[in-house]
Amino acid sequence: MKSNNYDYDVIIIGGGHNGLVAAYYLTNAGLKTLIIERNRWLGGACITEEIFKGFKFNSLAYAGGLLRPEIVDDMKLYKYGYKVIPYDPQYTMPYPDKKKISLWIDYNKTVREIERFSRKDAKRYLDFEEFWSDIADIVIPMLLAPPPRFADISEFMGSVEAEETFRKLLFLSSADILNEYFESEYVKAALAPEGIIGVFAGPYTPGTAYLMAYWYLGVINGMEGLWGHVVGGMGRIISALEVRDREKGVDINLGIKVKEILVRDGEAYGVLLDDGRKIYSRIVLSTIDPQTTILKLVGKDIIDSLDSEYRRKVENIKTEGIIFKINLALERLPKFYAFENKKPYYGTISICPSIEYLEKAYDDAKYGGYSREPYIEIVFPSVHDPSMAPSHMHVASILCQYTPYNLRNKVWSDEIKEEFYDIVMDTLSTYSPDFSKVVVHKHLLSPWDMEEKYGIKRGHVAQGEMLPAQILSFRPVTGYSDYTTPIRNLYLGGAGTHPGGGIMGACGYNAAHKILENLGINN
Amino acid sequence: MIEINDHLEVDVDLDKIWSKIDNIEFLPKIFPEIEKVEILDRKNYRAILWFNTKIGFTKVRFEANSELIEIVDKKYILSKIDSKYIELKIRFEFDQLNGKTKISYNITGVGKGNLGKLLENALKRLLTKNRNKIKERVAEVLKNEIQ
Repeated sequence: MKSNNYDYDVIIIGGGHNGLVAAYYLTNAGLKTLIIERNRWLGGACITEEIFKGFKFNSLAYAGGLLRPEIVDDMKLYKYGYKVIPYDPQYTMPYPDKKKISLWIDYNKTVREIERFSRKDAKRYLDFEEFWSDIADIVIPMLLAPPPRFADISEFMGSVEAEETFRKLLFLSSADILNEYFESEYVKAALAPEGIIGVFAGPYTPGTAYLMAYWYLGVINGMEGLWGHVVGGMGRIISALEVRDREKGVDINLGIKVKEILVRDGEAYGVLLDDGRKIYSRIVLSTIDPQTTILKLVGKDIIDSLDSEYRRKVENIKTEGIIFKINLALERLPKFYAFENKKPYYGTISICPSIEYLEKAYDDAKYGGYSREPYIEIVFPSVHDPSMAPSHMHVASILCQYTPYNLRNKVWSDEIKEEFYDIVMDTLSTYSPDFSKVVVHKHLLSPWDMEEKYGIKRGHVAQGEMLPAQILSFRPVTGYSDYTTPIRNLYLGGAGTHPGGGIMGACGYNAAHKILENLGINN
Repeated sequence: MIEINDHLEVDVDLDKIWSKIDNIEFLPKIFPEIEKVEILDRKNYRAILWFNTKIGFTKVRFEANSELIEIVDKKYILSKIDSKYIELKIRFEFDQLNGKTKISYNITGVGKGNLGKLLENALKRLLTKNRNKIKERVAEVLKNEIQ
């Protein structure tokens, strides 16, 4: 379906997982599609790199399970090397007093762990799980669809029970929810981190309850609510998507930057590349962040002439990265005071001794510093997958919060990065006698590095905060949550759109289907 | 789009099932999600169905027009259910097997608009997740009501 005036039907800016997913559905519907990626590799935040010989790091995204099973099935990704092993236990929390809690896939095992801290909490755990399961029944159907407007959602809120759950989900903090269900500080601490991952907010910030629902959405082997290891590393998701796309006939250009989106009479008609070439298309779909797309690639003058209110909204999208990623090559697994057996290494190990600890970590960042006692979560991919490290050695993938993109009176120099790394190791020394001693190589990524090296604007992997003010029909901005923009034939389909961040593929899927719907193509 | 194909077996003779099942007012007994039925044209099986479905923590209430497209005595029923959110086509096929009845069903549907798309996804999820529960319930109701 190639018009004589155009080189392609669709140009996709950005070769991350959303761009690759969108390309599949568009090409499958008969549209000639080109992906343009500025890096010499595909993947965006979803990559596996051999920074040190023999050690494969999941440099940014590090846990699988969110990729929608509908997309996996449609694209038959399991035939192209995509496989996820669920973590079990899902989480282990060691505490400074050498106690620990593990949260297992087996519900009864988890209840027995909780019972050691509180019998009452163990009984309440079923109610807690059912609460999120009920929410999943309405949130999951929202993922592969444009978001309904709040005025429309009210049609579904006919009962007091529905209104109450809606109130909790959007207006309460994760700490509020945990305090409602549980009494033990150990139990609350074990469940608290899901409410703050990736957002510049603390556990007491209203709206963080929503995050607990969002990060519950992983599905592995038909089981909901799980995270896991992608065999071969997160980059395997990208390589599977790439192979599938190329099979379908998607053209992919790497190492080329888009300088400008060509717009004439309020309509997009192609792109201008850094090297001066122009490529023409009927549709332009950008999967990079909305601010770069609209304010830089389109330009303020053009967008102002069409909708200055839209420009103002885009400028004000909250996008402040707060994650620091540490990737380590280890001579062996570090020990932990709280456990001796190997099981916790098969899941995420989180350092979060209390809800207050998390809130204090956030407090430091609120006032322009990095957390002096950060939230830390660690996975050891090589435990599941020996291909990630040389024989008998290991890799660790560590997420730390909070490390704001903008530091007060400082910048993210190598020196400051090392300073923060020392704080992380110092924090870990309370829980592990030898963590720093087993490190052979380290790879440190501040929010600045994420922007500079991987194109993640302001180091925010979700391309915009995922709190209630910027979700559903407010995402990326009110009035344009359906992947369109004020410019005809220019669409957005990255994490900055609904439903948001994480390696889910839903944004790209929805954007592609919106394009097809607007073209009158029944896919 | 929804597309579900499945079947169930009921320990009841086809004649007895047929005597009940082609009566649209029997539907709420089999599907409690149908709160009320208002017959518009009994001869042509036209009716308004009031749905009241629990989806997660929400309750979705809407009315739909049902219409029979085709019926072949004790063989199959093809009907359409059309609402402002979603349009469904449901085909039932009936086979007699040693005193039991095998009912095969095919449900296809498309949501209308953003809310309809949400409902389509929710229905797909509900029907898939609760597949066996729904089949057991329908078989049980048919058996209890008819025998």
